[in-house]
Amino acid sequence: MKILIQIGLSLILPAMVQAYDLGPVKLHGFLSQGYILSSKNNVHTDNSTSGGSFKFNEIGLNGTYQWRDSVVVSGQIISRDLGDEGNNNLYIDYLQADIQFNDWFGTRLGRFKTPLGFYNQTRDIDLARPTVFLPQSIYIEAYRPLVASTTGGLVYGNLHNDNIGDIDYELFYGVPGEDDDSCFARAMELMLSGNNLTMYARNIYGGKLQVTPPINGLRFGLTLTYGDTDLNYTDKLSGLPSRLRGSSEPMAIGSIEYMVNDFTFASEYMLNRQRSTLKIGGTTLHKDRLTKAEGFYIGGSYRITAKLETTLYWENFYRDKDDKHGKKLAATGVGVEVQGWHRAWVLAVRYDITDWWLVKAEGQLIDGAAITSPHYNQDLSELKQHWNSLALKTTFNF
Amino acid sequence: MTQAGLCHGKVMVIAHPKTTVREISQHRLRQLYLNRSKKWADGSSVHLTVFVDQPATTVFITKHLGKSTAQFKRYWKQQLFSGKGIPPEYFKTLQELLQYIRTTRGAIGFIDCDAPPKGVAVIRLTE
Repeated sequence: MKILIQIGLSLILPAMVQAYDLGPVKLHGFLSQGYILSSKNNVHTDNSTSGGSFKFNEIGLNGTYQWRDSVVVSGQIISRDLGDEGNNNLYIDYLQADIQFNDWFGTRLGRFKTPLGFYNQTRDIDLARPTVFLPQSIYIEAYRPLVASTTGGLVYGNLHNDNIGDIDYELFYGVPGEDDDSCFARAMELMLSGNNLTMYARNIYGGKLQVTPPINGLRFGLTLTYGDTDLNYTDKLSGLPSRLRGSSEPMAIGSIEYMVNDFTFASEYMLNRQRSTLKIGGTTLHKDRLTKAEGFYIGGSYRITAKLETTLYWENFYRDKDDKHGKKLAATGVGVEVQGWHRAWVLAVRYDITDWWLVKAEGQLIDGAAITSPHYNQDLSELKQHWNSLALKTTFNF
Repeated sequence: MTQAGLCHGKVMVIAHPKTTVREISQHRLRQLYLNRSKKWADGSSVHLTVFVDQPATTVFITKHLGKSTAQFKRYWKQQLFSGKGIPPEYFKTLQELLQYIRTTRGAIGFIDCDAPPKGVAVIRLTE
């Protein structure tokens, strides 16, 4: 980790404002370091309640090359750490050939950022948003390995109508990222009472439509995403090979954003209909069980000065909208009631010290424990309903 | 045609000297600077520029693009780091800007109306 940070610093600090040009290849990058502290429940790390954690950083290096008039080859490698996630291993965030035939039709081939809501494609880019974390009601950190990037193909384009405005579309099909060592996989292992869990994401496909009407600063979006995931593991009690198969049918996100002067208002709603089938050995414990995860947030940012921006939003998330109080979850024995929901007031401040260096602080007043991972809170009976968190972060970019 | 006749408010649009484009609509310019269109009509790629230290920049970004300068910068960070586009080249002096536009096929930019557009083409900005 130290070596990576040194490499990142040596690349970033000398240049700061402008990109590096290596011949025709333009290089940009960023480096972030954060700190997380929480009361009562651990969040994103296993020690946020005991003095806080600095296991929260991202280093990214981005290159673009205009190969032909119509073809841009670009890629981004990232090293990140968030609790036990990432551990500063290097991975390819995206690596794609972007071929644009005309304004209304282009394609990205390779590994590309998955279109999901307004902000998933920049979820690892701290400098692109005013808050430390994206709203967890929509951009759930635990699902990140499955939705951050997709390997396959995407088509996109822009259509314009004087009355409707601009219509931007993205349609994609591919295989999502997956990580057997992710906290999501480990949390599922704990919840399923299994060992040696492996995660196989069969496919992911969907589309995003964005309409920008002829009203300055306003845009709407709708994303539909389908996908299948297999979790294979050994049942601890019986020792039998077991399998949990899940599918989204679909995950839908509606988005709206309105920028006027120095205000930005944003709201998104997500409904994720998931079917799951659980088999232990040859026995089917449940088949095509439907759960409906629901998330929503609404809020806004105000740029007080050219350098200072503040954000306030409220969010609400249900693991299953038909089990808002977590009673069904608790009855299954794999969770406790307080894991059924997550509500939070979030206040964040961002200060841009220079064009290439910013600092942020974010406080959350939280009700519910749906976003806390069992991996970091292994005694679920100790989870508390009301708790708070504080995150600090600084980011350099060039 | 006089230089003043090619001004739109305080903004004059300039491009590579060999461009065949004589006029550009506000809508088209907005499409280019918001990454919705990346090519000229002849299929060549567009190279965007921004000259930072001039009044025309604030006018252009707020009036023609409908964003604050901070929102514009963040917009392009989002485009860049999500693999959607190559951001504009930023210049701190007029000389550097004009030199880049003179030598880069497909380059476009904008300057104050009272700045001399030496060695570059001036494009009429239409409604």
